[in-house]
Amino acid sequence: MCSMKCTIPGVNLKVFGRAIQSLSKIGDELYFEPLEDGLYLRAVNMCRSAYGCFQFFPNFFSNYIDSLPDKNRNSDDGEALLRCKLGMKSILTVFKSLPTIDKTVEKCRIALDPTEARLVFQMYCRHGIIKTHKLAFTECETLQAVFSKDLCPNKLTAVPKLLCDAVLNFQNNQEEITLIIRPDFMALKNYVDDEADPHKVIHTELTLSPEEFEQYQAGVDADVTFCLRELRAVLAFADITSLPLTLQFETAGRPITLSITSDQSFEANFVLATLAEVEASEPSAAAGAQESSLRKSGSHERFRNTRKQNGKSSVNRNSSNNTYTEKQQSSKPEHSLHHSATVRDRPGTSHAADDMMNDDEDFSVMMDVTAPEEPYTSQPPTTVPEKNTRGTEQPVRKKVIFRHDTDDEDDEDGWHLNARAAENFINAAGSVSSEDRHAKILSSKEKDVNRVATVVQDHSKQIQTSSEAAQTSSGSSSTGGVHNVGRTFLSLKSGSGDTSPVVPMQNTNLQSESDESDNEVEEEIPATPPMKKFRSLFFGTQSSTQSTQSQQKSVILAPDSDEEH
Amino acid sequence: MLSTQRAGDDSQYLLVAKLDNARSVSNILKAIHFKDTAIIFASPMGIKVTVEDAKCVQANAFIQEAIFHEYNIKADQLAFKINLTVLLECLTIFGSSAVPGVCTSLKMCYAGYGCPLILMLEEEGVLTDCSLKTLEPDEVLDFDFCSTNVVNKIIMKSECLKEVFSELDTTSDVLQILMSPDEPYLQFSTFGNAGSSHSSFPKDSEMMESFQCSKTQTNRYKISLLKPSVKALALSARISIRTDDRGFLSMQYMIKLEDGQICFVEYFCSPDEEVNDGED
Repeated sequence: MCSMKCTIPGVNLKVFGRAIQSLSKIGDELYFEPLEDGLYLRAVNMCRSAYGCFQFFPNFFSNYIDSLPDKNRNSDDGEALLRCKLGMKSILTVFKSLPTIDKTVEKCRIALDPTEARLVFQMYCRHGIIKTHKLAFTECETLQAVFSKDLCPNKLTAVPKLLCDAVLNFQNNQEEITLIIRPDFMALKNYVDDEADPHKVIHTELTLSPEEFEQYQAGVDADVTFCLRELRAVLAFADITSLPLTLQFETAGRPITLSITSDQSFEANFVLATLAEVEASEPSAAAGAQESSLRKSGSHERFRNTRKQNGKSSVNRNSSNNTYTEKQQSSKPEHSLHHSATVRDRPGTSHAADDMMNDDEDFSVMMDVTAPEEPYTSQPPTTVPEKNTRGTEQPVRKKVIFRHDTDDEDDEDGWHLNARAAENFINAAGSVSSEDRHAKILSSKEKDVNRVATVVQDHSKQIQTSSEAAQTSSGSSSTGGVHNVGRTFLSLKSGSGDTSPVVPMQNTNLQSESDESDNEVEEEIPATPPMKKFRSLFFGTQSSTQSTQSQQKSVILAPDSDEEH
Repeated sequence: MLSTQRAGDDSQYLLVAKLDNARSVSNILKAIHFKDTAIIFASPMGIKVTVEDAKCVQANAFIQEAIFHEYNIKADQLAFKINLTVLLECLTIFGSSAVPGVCTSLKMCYAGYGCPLILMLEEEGVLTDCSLKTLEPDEVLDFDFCSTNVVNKIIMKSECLKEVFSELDTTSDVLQILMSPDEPYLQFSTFGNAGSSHSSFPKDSEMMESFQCSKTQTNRYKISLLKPSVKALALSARISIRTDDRGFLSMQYMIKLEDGQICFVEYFCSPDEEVNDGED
């Protein structure tokens, strides 16, 4: 093992401690890697939507040895051998009380104890007192995010105080914030998420003029939404250094980078994922637009986590993604998914991202999570649809949307709708075996990128399909207004082999205010738990009109052969 | 005024103690308040209040008779058990926060075995009478800590230790105390989930007032037993740490009262047997 040693003089301890505290607000583990060009401290959050990295150059330390001379190096890349991560809780106990540390600690020495396999932090305090903390660590691979901030067309540089004062105006429980940039002004707005009635929520907007910034470059008009909590964590650090903070970003869906690069002794970079919103319009148009936007906003951030032990690929942060294979953390997928749902709305998925995900089996966590278009090929969704189905208005992010595209005009005849809906979803008309249904539905996505069908299929789909088909059409018509959902979630439960998605009537809350939609669509199955409402999107089975006709009013949850035809 | 009103009645009491500022007593008693009941011993030298836990730890608060402005005792030794929580509530009946210039005066009376402890508190003309039931005193542990057995003794300023004790890793079961004539002289260690933490104090530090260590000793004590001592440490200005040949720990805290007088609080703790390295 290499033996690293470094000493931080007392004056720099405040920065070091504050850096650790800000990383602790991002992730639960601190990645610690001493390299020749400095000590890297990194953290990433559970759903990979926020990443922080501090690089402390050797001149930050009064003494910096990253490893013993070459004879002890046995790594193949020749770099320092120590790559580990510490639990945040343990490292926070060392830097618990920063004001005390500031007053009493003269220097801090960090060393690796090879015999005991501990990372030793020694604080040399006044009066000769020495506090030694021997922390256990886990070896791991490098956590690295690949991001290109310099190519971003929008760049703002401000003193942290400006932004700190700005975010003070937002409520503490505000989750997300939208940064709007235009050539002549920049605004911060609180992000209202899926609120049924926008008038019932407090809207806060703060506008700043370009003069307030040290540098103001608005290349493209953009509205980027990201997590406020993480921004506060970054600002908490920036505030004590009083160094200018640079924000670089592009458009919604692309990550935003916050960096402090003007200090000679360290550099800080934070990358936050942004919500990708897609304006819903014409289904086809939207689909097209979405598709292109998705492709554009392919994940350009990638976490390379080459964990050998986890053979799987990186986590797909998109909540919509079933392929949320989180290797790194055993965090609850639902939570991450949910988080990702909130943080990043993805308007559809980017094929590019998807490909990357699938190709890079070893790593690549998309920082910028945009739901892959066909995320569900691999496994059933882990998210519960209801998480995603919230609100009907646009931008629809988390909702499960069913396709309603061309069906609207045919609402008067539910059967037709069904057929159309079915067609839209399924490439192949006709019966689809249940196991194929999933695939079919996915393939149908290609047709309508915007729509995400969340289908929950219970057993005996076959029977239901016809009846459901009827429902679907009505349901879909009702959701005419809904446009694409950023994320696609499929909770395809077992579909019966039908190709046409059937939208049960209970989906009414999924947003639809299509007046033209048949009234019957609005019916809800009595005593249906909400979950089912969302779940049963539809499962296309077949576009049989006759079945739908008879089914218009009732939502079929259980197969009933009587209703079929 | 209390004395004039009740001068005649006091003859029935075996113990009558008067104090101008009840807060002195209440603060000290709070420092040892980790159990509900306490044993009070009164002697011509003063009052000693003892609290014990698990037969392993004992805390004593000494309020010498000089602290009281009137102290009359008609017996050599009086002992009774009392509910310390209730006693503290009575002592702080006028509020526990310190309002400058306002003092609560206290008169304690005890008529003997089986009689209640009478408290009379007065603040700005408002008089409160309390009568607390007394209980049969339990046997208190005798740690048998005499000076001849003391192996290591350190007297130091409390200031730096306050930080150590307040930041103790609570995930650790034990606190290990090392005292040695050699490096690291005095070291407090915890072994928690995150790893181990050690705080060491050199013997020549300006915090050290006296350093007399004859032998290297490492002893472990259950943190849960020592946690209550942090209250006493917080009030104190100086602390004396002693260990004897069995590894028993004695921590004596010198507490300065508001009027400048000095009181002592003492904690005894027995070491953790399993990991008792004892004398090296």
